[in-house]
Amino acid sequence: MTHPFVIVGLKTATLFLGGMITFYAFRAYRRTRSPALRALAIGFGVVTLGSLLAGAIDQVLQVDRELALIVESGLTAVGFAVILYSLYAE
Amino acid sequence: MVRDPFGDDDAPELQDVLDALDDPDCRAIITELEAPMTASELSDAADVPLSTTYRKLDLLSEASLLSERTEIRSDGQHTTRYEVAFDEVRIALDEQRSFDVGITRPERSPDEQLAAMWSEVRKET
Repeated sequence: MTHPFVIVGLKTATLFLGGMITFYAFRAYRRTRSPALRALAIGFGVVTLGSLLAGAIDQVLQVDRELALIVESGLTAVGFAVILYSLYAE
Repeated sequence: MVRDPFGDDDAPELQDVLDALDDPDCRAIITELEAPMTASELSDAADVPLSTTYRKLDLLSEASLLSERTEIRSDGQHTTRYEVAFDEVRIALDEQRSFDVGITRPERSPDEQLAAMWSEVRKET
């Protein structure tokens, strides 16, 4: 069993780094008003949100670990789909 | 004068486009620009003196008919290459019967789009 602090630490780092990327992408969107950059920011935001929600479900709700895993994997898939879409958006 | 890669929405002034296309040297430059080229390569290819080439490139960039891409070489020097940034230029009368210039841009491939988006994101850091 991994020490919970390791997971919390890694999750915090993921949230911080993902949040920074999302923030910069969003600011670039605000400046350029480009739909592609909006999609890029949303995509990174969704992946980061997935990590946040999974961490919250796991640590706070103390429910089945599997739910946290499903939420995280699902939002990661959706986020990457949006990032891929951004490459084809106008 | 680097054109914003996402600035396609703000169309150039009609006069700028007409000025650029009215110029035989500018047209020669566009004809030669099959692949991205530097100013000196263009000067040779289009047989236009280098100082004139720079002036014409400014004219074309102003009309947003060309775009610039800057490459940083491994020795730290910058190279600017120019490429044609339009497929079609359309001049038409709008509802108010004033001249309207429309420029159709070439499609960007996903990898080019990613590079362009990322350079915009990097400007925020």
